[in-house]
Amino acid sequence: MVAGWTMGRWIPVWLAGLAACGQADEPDVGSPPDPPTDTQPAPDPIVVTLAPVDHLLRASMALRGIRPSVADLEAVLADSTALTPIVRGYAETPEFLETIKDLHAEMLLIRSDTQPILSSEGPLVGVNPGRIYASMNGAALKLVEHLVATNRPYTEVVTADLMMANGILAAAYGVPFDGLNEEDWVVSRWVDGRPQSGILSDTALWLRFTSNGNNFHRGRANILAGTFLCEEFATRDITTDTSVDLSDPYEVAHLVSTNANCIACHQALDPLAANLWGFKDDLVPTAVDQAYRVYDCEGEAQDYCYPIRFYNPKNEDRYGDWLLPAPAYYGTPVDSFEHLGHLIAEDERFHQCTTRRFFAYLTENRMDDVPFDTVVRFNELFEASGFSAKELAIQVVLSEEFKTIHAENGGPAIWAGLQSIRPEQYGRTLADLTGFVFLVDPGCDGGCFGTTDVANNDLNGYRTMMGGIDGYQTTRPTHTPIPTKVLAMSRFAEEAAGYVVPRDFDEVDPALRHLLTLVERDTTDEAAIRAQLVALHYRVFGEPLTAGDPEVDESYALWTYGFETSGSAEEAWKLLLAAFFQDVRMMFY
Amino acid sequence: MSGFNRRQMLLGGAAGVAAGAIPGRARSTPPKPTRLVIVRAGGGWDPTFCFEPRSTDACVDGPDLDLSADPNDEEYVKTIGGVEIQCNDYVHPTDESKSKRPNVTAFFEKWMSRTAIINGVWTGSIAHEPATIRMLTGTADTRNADFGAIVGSTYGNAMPLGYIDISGYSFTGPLASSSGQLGYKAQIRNLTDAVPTYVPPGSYVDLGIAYPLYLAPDPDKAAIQAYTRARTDRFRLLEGRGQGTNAVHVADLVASLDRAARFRGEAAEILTTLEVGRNPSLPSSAALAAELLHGNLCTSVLIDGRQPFDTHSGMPAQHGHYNGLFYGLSLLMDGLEAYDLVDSTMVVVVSEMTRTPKRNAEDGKDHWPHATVLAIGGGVAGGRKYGAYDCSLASLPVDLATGEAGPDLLKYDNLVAGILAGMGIDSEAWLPDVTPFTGFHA
Repeated sequence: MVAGWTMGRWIPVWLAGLAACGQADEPDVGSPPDPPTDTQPAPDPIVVTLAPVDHLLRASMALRGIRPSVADLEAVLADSTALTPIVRGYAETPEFLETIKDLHAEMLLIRSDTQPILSSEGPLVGVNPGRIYASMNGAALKLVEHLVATNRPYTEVVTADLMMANGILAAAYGVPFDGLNEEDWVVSRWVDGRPQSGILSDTALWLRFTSNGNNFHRGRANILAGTFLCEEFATRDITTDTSVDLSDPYEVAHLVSTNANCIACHQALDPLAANLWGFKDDLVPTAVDQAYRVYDCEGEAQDYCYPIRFYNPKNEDRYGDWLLPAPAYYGTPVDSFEHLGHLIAEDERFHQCTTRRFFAYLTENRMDDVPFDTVVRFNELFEASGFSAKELAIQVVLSEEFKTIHAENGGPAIWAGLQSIRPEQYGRTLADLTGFVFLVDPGCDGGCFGTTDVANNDLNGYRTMMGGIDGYQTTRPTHTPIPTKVLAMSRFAEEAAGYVVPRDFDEVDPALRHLLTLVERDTTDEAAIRAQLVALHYRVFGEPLTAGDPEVDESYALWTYGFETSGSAEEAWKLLLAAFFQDVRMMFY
Repeated sequence: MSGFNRRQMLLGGAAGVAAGAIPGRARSTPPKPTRLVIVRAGGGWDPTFCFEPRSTDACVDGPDLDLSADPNDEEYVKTIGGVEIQCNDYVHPTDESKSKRPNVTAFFEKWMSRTAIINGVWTGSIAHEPATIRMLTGTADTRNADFGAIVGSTYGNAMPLGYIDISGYSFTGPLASSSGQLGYKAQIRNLTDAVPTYVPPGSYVDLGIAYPLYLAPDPDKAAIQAYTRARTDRFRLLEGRGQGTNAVHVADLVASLDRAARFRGEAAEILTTLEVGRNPSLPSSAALAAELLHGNLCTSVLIDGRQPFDTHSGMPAQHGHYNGLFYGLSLLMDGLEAYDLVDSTMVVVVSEMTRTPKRNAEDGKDHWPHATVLAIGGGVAGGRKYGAYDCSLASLPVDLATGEAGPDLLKYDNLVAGILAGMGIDSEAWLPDVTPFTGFHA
């Protein structure tokens, strides 16, 4: 205590106005300067849109994370109307489903491999933690993938009467599994009395977002509101009334229903939280260890042995023990967890939030920045399609906003701008171009995680260092080049180049090669080299160039440098391709 | 993309604030620090264990609740350098986990004169991530850079990286291209070492794959960079690519190419203190922070205290967390002292929130939106407390210029603005219309 301070509580006057959820004014750091007030004529609008071939490349990257084929490029180069059917075809590819999973991983923050993983005990003895992680944290994404692949309405993401399981989850959760191999993913169902509400019923989701102490699932309810409705409570500045004992949950229960500072949020938050009481607050991995090693899975320890008992219907009504309100959804009483899923599915906010998320993800804009009018326009298309995720994605990448790269004084209210390749896209792009997937074995120091895809992992990989997210510490991507991304792309590029060059030359049939289809190991003829460079610029960058183009001159000069310093055409191609794979047109699309 | 925001507009001018461009100050004013270390004490520490000495009373449950039967286990208030600190120096003879907080006492006995304890900072949130965003950026928006990134971009333009995040918790916003993370298990080394050490999985070994598949010699790397730079220069001349935010992205690429090359060249030796495959501990992070600053690889570092202060149950764990954190802080300060960097470096220890005054039924404390922050070293008027808590650990109003009792709530944005101002940075440029809390400035 500082001498002279009064002991009375100080409640600043300005906070009185924050009763409506305590939304305080934030410093205005994003407002552009006021427009000039003189009578100068309005400047001419500048709207720069992509050429059809560039639009195709961007759409292919956004939807699939890979470059368009040469055949697709040729088709659009010859006739720009070919673009729409080609793009529609992209939404039917496995790579599009990978993008759907990437998008939902960012939404659910569920790819969080740096966090503790449940133990390899009991029926999972011998299973690498990395496989347990991939199974548990992949299940919700697999469900979304399944629904999108089978053209189910996107709203079933929160209502589907099924879950996805592989052999590992069958053992971990005790759910039915009829796959042929342990790695197969099949449709299954929860059998622990848990309501079936799509990804809302997923164990890993509520292990990612645990509930602590006397929080009583309020944090989870905030995640529901923020993730599915774009109406997060926790972003608002809050005030607390220090006249009450917040360590007493009964007093808190009373306070949140009577105190003006609290009620505006909690009258919606607490009934939403009441829907989640069937789920355990938490399940720390050490509890599984102890259950097996200390308690021999007896008594209460059974819950923590496989199959894990993470949901208990007997606890669904326990909110009443703490005098908390009954389950409701923004004023509508909720009968069951399934009912909650359906209420979300029918909520216009969910539709608009989904539209906002898809648009923002596919154009690398912030969700908050997407104008409401834009959301409404795409949402109408989304609803008209019967909530087709594919159609929503297609409409976004065919839109004026998507193919606009720059606008001033006119044009769309928001546009895509230069897109910075995401780590997951980069991994897929290199795999598609070269056949190389950057996998490593991180060893067993601290546990055998198992084979790791370096582009999609943070424990031992470079996802966050390449601008991605780790789902826990870094929860928002960085859509601009950063030094560690440059370093990581350099390493990826060299490995991919080192992989593809000798293998292409080893392949006798040029048609079966990935990239070097016009040259052989001993080819040094300038015309042949230039022809190959033209083909590479087209395949890798979508650049339709001629052999005499200055860009080809530059590439030829680099190849020549590599040849002269190494004495080997093969080494020169490695150098050239390493440069291509970290090029400005690889970084941006 | 809907155009520049004000922060982005400022990017071009921020560099000018660096060396030599700081507004003039009186000759008697000590030079502002140009280096920064942020230590994240994540989870929410309980100030009654240290900064706000309290015994259990009607308002508060204090650390005295955890006393054992051992007579040496004693909670007491010690005045160190004129500042009252809650201490307990008990060391359990056989079980270190039952020891209390001797490292706290030891730290303050050496560093109290350089330490400002800032109590009563209103965090605006009781959720971890939103509170962290506020306490590091001074705003509620992750689009904005945290004060480490701002310091890094202001003073670190001539260095390979302005801001190095060893913790993974940074918010770099529009300053991402001057910032970098080292990886959860020090993966950065495989990007900077001459030869990477990652190994292929067994399935690849069976195919005859051995890493590295290709390792461009340094001259070839330089050739690749020159090629990329030339291509980038032509790319930005294409219609629309060099305009608006696209120009910012292309400039970020150019800057990142340069910084990446320099970092690979200059950091490799220092980074050998990191072990690939191991998550760096607080002691190793603290040592590395001092090395990075000494090596002029950056001007700003964020490290993680690695203490899980979020004790919703089991409050006695706070003793160990405090003890571990202050052990690391001592190593950090000793490292800075060894390199004669204390005067030029401000160390800021931030916990995004604190804990409720009373313990709950699980002997824990939940979240509380009134925080304590430490500022140590350069630019800091140490040896005293600023701000204050009331009986129930709620923030009391202050005079933002002095830290004494006054009319204003000390908010997270005042704090961040004050840290920036304390480092000679125009806080108005980053947090417009926010009054900086300058009371703790030297």
